[in-house]
Amino acid sequence: MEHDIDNNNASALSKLKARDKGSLKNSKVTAIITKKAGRPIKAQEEKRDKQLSIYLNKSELDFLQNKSDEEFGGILSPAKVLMILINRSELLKK
Amino acid sequence: MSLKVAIFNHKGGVGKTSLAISLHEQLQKQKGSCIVVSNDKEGISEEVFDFYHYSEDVRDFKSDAEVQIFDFGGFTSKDVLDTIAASNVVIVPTLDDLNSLQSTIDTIAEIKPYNDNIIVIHNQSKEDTFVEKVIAENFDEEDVPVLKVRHSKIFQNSLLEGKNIEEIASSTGKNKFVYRNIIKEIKDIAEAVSYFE
Repeated sequence: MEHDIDNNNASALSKLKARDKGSLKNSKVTAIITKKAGRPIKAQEEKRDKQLSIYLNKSELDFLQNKSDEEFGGILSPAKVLMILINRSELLKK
Repeated sequence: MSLKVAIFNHKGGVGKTSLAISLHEQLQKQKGSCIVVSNDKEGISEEVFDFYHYSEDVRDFKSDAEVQIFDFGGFTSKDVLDTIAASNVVIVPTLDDLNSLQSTIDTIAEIKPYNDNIIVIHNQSKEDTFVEKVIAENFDEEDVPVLKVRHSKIFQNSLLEGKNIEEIASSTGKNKFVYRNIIKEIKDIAEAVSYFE
């Protein structure tokens, strides 16, 4: 019977809500762009003190391809990472 | 800006389409307009639900709806991964059994590099299960939260009858009592999705 299980999603929802509000503010955001044959293939982002690999889609790759090495300097500043994220959000609008 | 929600698991029969239909109902009410797009040829047709559309490549499907839900078949392809990467959140439904759980872990590991915003929906059929424990052991709990919805025949009835969940749940006094928690749990999932907008 459906009503025999005592489900409670309150805890998971609460954590999600808190994560949403604090994720950008509390994240240490730096990224390293890995290039292969002159093209960036992925960005490694440090988030919540962990390293995550973000594989970039074609539009993002094209976006980065137009940037010079000097602009990246191997390690992206938080502002540059923000540019990637903004670009990603631009894609969401399409 | 539209809210894009991808629903994906390699395993079939874990409740992807049922979840898409029931989530559509809630998000349509919240956001005003919502459609579901699927790349699964064997999926349900527009004749059953007029908001449910098939597209071989979902990237080609254009819509002005405030919310777009992508109900993917179990296969991975470039367009699936591109859409997952461009979605606000990816929902991975799972059942209690070991096969489903293994597939769920494999699915999350595959899509996580493309989109870090993942929610597991545990389609729960019994009280004591190890789904949450296994997900927590394999992934950070904060990175992959698990929400629960009880496994119910109301989902199958919804697909068979072409009626939405709330319509069935409120049709009789008995149904109102039996299905009261299902509606709450689906609203919980809609709330979780809204945090990624």
